[in-house]
Amino acid sequence: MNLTIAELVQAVDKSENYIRQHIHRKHLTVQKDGRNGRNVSVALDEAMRWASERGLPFNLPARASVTMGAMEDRTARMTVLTWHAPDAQPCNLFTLIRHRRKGKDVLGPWTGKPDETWSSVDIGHELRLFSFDASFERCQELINHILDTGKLEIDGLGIHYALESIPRRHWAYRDKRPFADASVPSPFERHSAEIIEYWSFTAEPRKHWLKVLESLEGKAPPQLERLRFPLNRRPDRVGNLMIAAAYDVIACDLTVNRNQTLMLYVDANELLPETYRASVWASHSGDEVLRREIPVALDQTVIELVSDVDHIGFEIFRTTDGQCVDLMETFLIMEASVRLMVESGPTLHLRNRQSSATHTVNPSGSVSMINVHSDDDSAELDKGIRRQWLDRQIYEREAATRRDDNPMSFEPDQFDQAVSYFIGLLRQSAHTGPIYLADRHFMRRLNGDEGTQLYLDLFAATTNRSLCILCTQQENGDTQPWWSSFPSQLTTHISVRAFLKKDTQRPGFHDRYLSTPERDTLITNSFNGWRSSEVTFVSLPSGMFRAKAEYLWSMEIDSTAEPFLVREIC
Amino acid sequence: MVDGDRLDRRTFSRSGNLLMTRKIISDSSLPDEAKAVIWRIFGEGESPLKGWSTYELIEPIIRDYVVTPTEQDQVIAEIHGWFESHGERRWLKSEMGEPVAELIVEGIGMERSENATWAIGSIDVDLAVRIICSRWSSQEINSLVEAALTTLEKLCDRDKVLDAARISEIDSASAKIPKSAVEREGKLQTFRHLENHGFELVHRGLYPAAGNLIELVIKLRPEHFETLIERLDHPVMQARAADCMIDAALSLTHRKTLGWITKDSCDDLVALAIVHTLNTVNTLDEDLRYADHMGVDQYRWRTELRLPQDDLDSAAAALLNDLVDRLAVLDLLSCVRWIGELLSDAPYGLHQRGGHKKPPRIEQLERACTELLARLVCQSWSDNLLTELCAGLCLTPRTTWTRHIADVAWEIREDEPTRATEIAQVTLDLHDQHITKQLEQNRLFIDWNDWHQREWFSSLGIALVLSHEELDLPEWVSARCRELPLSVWDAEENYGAFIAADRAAQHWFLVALHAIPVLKELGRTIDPDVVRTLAENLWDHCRFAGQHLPGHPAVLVASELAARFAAEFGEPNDAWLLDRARHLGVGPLALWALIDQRRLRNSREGGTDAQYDQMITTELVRVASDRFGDGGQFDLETLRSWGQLWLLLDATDEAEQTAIAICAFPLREHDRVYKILVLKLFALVASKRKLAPEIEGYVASLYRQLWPGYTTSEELEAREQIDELLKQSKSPIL
Repeated sequence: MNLTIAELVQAVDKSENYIRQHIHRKHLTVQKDGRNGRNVSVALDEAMRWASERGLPFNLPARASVTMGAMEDRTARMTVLTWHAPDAQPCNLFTLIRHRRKGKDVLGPWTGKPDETWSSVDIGHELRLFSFDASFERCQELINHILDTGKLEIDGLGIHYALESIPRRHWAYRDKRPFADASVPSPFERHSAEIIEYWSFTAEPRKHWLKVLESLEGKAPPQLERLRFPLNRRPDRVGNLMIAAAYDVIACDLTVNRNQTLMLYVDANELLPETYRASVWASHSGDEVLRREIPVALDQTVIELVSDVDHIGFEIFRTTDGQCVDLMETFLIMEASVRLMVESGPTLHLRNRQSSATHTVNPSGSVSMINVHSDDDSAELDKGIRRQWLDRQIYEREAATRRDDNPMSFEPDQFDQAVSYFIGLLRQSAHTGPIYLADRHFMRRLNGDEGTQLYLDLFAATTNRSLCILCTQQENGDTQPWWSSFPSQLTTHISVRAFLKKDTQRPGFHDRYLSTPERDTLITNSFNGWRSSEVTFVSLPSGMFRAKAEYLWSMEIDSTAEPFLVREIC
Repeated sequence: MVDGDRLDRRTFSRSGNLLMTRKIISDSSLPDEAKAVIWRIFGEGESPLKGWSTYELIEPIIRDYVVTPTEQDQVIAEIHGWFESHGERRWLKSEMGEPVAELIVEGIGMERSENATWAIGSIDVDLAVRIICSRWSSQEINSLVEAALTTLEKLCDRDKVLDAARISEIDSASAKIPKSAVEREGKLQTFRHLENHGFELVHRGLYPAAGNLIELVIKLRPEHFETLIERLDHPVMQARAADCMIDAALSLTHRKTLGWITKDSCDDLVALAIVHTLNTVNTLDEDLRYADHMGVDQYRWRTELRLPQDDLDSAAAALLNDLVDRLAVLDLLSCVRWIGELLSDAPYGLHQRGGHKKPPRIEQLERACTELLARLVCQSWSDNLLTELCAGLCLTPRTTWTRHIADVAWEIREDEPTRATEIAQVTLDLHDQHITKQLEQNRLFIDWNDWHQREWFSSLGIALVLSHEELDLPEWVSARCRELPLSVWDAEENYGAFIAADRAAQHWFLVALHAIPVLKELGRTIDPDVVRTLAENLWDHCRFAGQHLPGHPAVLVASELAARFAAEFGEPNDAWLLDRARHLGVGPLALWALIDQRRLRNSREGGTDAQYDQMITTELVRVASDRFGDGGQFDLETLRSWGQLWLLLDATDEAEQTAIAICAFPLREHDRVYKILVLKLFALVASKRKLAPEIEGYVASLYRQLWPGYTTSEELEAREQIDELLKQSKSPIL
């Protein structure tokens, strides 16, 4: 990265004349570019060397990063989400440049030299996602070009950008807090990231993006997982260009061992003593059991605990400037939720104390630090960001309202429509994971033609899947359950279990719901009540019921050690 | 053919009933014109194509055909009286079965309409056979058989074969089970599914009149069985017919079904022949097993074969071989396709699908199939041959079917080396396609406990060697792994794809590793550097994948295999061994395998220096112990491998720590293998130094809990080993 003379003036707080004299005396090496070599710039490394030798303060220009060392040692992936409106120039919806250290130990043993070719995928809705692997140096050239011209050329296609010239710098931590106002999460799995972000305030791309989201009920197209940025939850970022530098000179992880110890792992090529400080914390049922500063040393540091913990976290601070360079905070959640989250992308993982299962954790409570300089340009920028933020708040409330307003009710005389809607929910599930159906009164059969057809349709629609049915009634002694009168060919894939409270033998749950890997649907009535009173279906994206179902299903059958008495019916 | 002698006896024994029923009819006041229309009531009522019940049809039909109005009411009342009821349901009284049957048969005469046929279908089969044989001429019977087949054909055409209401035991006129719901992708699969899961469909779901007609045709004209199968295009009907044939034939000859396969047999018949031949093999095996338990005198034999005079085991083996030979009478391409379908279905059809070990019957069948295929390839090669074989093989949910093609290549490697290379290459190409498809769906699994998968890798190793004259194994694997989404970017962007890609990488390594013994068997050079490089590459991959997949097992079969081959064929020196011990990609299982294989090799080849060996062992313990820490971070399976390693290295402190770490898990009743390991580890410690008193108590109680008296043969060796170690203990523990 090169600095202009103006940027260097600001960085060292000296006059332009002072700097030009040093250039003239060859104390400072410059690079000439542009027509006739009139444009002069200084490489960042050279500028820092020169300033350091003279004891000059060096305020890093906003668009630069000094934490990552030389650019040529870094490799990058640039992902560009574009909008191709008919009869209009394609424009940027979001661009993310991630860069990290080179090396097989980081990139993997099978990764070769970046091929510097663009690949693209059409994701519908007039959107296209481009991806480009190159050295960070090469990406920086592209960024400079975008900043200079407002355009990026991809295989002859000109992508239009409308960016503010002054970027924002902030940090993205390994933080996947579900609530909306959390800091942007780090796009790296094992590192936090230093972010440089160029904002865009043009309205049209954002409007289009919101329209796309509306048509997808707030979810981003699955291919956007590759973007590594939750643009569906952060529509205020539409149009922006973001550069994320993995803080990968050090890699840390925290795990809980079975023997009531925490283990802080630190990995780095070299680590000088006292370069970093770490703060580690843990709590149990809301009570803090540990909050301690510990020295950062290579490999494992064991921290004794005095009790179980269900919440852990750590922060790593750079000693020289006190900057938090990595943060991870996690709740240890039940295994039932792990499977839900595994597919949502890389998450933080911890080992269970009780078994070999790996726990996915739900981070929360991170602190994001934004260093805001108050000058006129910045005030304008703040105003713009504030406006975008307010817009986002409005959008999110609207989206939440739309999501909540989804109940589908059917009166008793709409039984066929209710069945059709219900079967439709099953057919929409393309995933192969198990389907959970909780109906307290499943053992009480809905009789008549309609009932038979409902059950036949239910069994047929779930063939080749695993249908796990949860109920709260046991089978009636020696008699076969009613579905045994259906052809076993249609019922071999179903399993039915009854859950009862251990002490009272009363029903172990009350809810009625359907949970496919894609979504949960709350059902307000048991099958056998659909014809006599109304039934309402409420779709819920949260996965809460799936977690409940998986939790119940994971209990051992006929075991007295479980919270519920679980009986296998078939 | 109806057994005349048996029929006479039955007629004789039931003569009392016959007289009584004839009396009922002769005593009845039913006018002749009413008697003559009884068949119409039952014909229309039993027809699956009409919507009324027999009982409901009595009144309208009598009013149509009986002239006098006063008689109509009497007749209706009398016929109503033939029925019993419960709630809404009504059925003919049992004592009325025969007189009504006689009225129907008499009433029909030469009538061969659909209704007439359904009326015959309403009669119990054995009763119908008896009455028809006693009253009708051979020509009349032939015309009835033809009419029955035509009527049943029509039912198939309208896809009204199955009565959903009968299956679910309630009135449900609108519920339907179409033919498409019964059919599977291949005919063999369809019939096997019906055999295993379709009893309700074949024997309850089929309209009773239709079922009766099928059985009637078989019993009256068994020689029409093949025709029936060809004409009735519904698997449930065909399965019912085959069941009826088998019921009659199995006790007379266990080889009956082989005769169903002729040059002109239709596909359905061949499929039924295969399904029922495999069933007979199962039956013979069961007879052999259970008769042994129950005593040959009490046992109810299901075929004509009896112990001790007959050799049931040989008969079953011969049946399998002869089944394959029978398929060879079909035209070449059909034969090859059926062999493919048979191979893919056999693990299910022979009730020996899963498990750790390959069942012997499957082995016999596969051997016979492979030999036949090899013969056909050598003698009658055509380009379509492999295509047809694959069309049959692929009808299985398993992806392991390509192994059979590789086996053919191996079989012909000496007689037709060029063809063998070509077939081996086809195997690899097909396999590449499978892996690509599985990767697209992120569904790729390796299950080493499944014998299919182990055989699969073995065959893929063969295919790899046969298809390459020059083979650089590390480069072959690397080229494939470089195509996989296995970079750190992929790990972050698409976790599911990365997991699948990691499994694919393990898969390619397993294939390459399995090529090594094949190279050796063929006498081709194995470069030790290549074997070591292959193992090192795998462990580098494991190290990287483990950073991004926290659930990545430290205990990987590929890793263990790589270690064994590296120690056996890689000529490693001890510096290399110590380097590997430090490598985080080499899990405890691989490390154990490396050291174990090194010891085996040394003891086989001799000439080692005991003192030097001890020095290496001490260093290995130190290096491994650094990695182990206190063991608190490992899962149970990984701890098990660490435990094995400490036992091998005689490392007492680490053994004790591992045992304690395993005990921190809630071990359940069935976790015997871990409990035994804990005992071994503590026993090792006890043999060297005194255990803490509370641990001694724990060992004693665990020992008594595991073996209160009897020890199974599988655990005997472990118990003896523990006993031996505990004997060396300074203080008695047990």
